[in-house]
Amino acid sequence: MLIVFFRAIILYALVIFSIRLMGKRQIGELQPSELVITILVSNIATLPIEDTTIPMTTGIIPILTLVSLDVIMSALTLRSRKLRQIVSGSPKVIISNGEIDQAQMKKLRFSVDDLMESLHDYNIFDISEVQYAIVETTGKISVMQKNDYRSLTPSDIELYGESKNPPQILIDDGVVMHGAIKFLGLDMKFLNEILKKNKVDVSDVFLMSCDEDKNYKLIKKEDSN
Amino acid sequence: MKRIILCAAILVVIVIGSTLSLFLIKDKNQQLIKTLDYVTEYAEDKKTDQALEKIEEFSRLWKKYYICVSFLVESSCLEDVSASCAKLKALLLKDSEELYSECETIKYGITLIYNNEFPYLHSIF
Repeated sequence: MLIVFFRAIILYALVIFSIRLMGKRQIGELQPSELVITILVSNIATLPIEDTTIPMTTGIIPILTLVSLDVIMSALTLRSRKLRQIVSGSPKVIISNGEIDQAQMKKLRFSVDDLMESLHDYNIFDISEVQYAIVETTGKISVMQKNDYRSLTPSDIELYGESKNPPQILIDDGVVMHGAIKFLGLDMKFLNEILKKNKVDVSDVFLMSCDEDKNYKLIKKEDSN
Repeated sequence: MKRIILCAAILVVIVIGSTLSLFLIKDKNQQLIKTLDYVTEYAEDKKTDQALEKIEEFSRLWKKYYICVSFLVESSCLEDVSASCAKLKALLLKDSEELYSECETIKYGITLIYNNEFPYLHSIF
């Protein structure tokens, strides 16, 4: 039993390391090759846990090999467009100028239901509202609505303004986020002044956020009895 | 870039490690087979004490080999050879003819371990 326990710990660490090595992606955003690697890694990792007669190297070596190959391959595909097309395929247009490309949909084995389901994600229930739709290499459909149905944006009414970064969290549950302070171009002196003004210690702060204009929001910790 | 270098390094380490492990298995195999040859030779010459000494030596070598190779090979393959090893001493003391067949079984098992690890075309596909 302990063998299985220790093996599970080692493989858990290895799988986390492997996934981190592959980079940050959500399951739905994985490229075909990445999806295959993820499934393979999870499958291979279970083998040495289930069967103690199999040496750990039988699990470790293929996992590291697959993940390393995937990282190297993605680096190569970044440099070569042709290789990228071979490995990941290319996006396909299924609606252009409001017209559905039925041949392309057939080729992609996309049903009308699949298309409608994806349009619903964009709050589109009438296909006549769609100007352009494209199936990305991840299988996700991206949609552009016709001009008449698009939401009004500030630029449509010539309401121009400065674009700013969102507020950053400077204190998270009593812990100072030095990276965020640096990002906003602030320093500890500024933070200490605010804390002094509010008569609180860092450890008493539940959340403090601040934007580039030094507008801040401070929430104190509730008394825990 | 760091990630790519790390991955390339991992692949290089895997390739070098796997190749070295093959050499290690081959080298240890030769040592074991040589010791077994001495066992059969002494047993045939009825030099029981020397044969016993060689069996002890073989057992020691096998224990080391087992620990080393268990990182690479399925333990079920090693258990079969271990079972045959355990019989050697008793067979020698009984002056049984089976000793020679057990030695051959062990030799075959050891060779099989190496062959199963070597990337022959038929093993890969």
